[in-house]
Amino acid sequence: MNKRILVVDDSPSVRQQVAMCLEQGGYQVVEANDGVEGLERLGGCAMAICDVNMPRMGGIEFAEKAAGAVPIVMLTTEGRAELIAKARAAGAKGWMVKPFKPEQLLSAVKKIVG
Amino acid sequence: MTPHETFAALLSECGRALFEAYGVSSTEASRPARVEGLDARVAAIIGFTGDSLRGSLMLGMNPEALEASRQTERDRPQDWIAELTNQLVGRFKNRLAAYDVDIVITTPLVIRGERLSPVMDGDAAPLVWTLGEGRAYGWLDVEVQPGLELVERPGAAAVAAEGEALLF
Repeated sequence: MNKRILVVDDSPSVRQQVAMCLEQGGYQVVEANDGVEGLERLGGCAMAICDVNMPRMGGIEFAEKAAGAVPIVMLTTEGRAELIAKARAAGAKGWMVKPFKPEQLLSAVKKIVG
Repeated sequence: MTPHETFAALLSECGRALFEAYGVSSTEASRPARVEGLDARVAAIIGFTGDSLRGSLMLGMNPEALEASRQTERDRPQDWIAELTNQLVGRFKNRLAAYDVDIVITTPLVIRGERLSPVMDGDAAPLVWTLGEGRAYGWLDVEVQPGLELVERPGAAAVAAEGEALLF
């Protein structure tokens, strides 16, 4: 059975692009619009890919709550060291700056969940 | 360079790089002197604030530019312009980090209309990028604290490169 990956982003465009990339790589995708929805849909997922700036619950808070359950890679426009350090302290396993190249995203996902 | 000239140069650089990242080459036209002729039909705006400045950045596009840059046919124009604007402001924010300026940004708001036009007021005049047959407009409206001087410090730039995965 294909591994399931949760994609948490308030941008439908980004969710679609990430989902297309992951599905082409043989993964199933579950989508969530923000951290609150992400926590609700986390069950059964092998990892999560998560934006940072989102309404209701942002990515750092999501990572604090979910990193014990699944590995999390942040996918965001932000690139500052202090924010990356915060995500790492929250338990995130990786960081990517948008826009992403599909092969780079897939490579990171494969390193984490196989 | 005044702060506003620096901001305009950064916006120009960030816009070109963003469109290029999505496979669209762009050229920058001169700033329009008059409102007539601007044909943006959809735009998104993001506000930002920091210790020494506050403002907003709006990205508008005509339908041809939107179509040229869109990545999937399933993308709604409103969603795509919102995400492009988010990434443009993200680049701008990361570039400002090299000047030791930190800003907090809002989520994007989308505006649709006929011939969306800004106030043509000096520094607020839009930058225009030509994308094939299309045109994209960047409106940057910034208020700075008097006396603000922007000095680039190469070591203070954002640490994560675009597209590269940092795994911890």
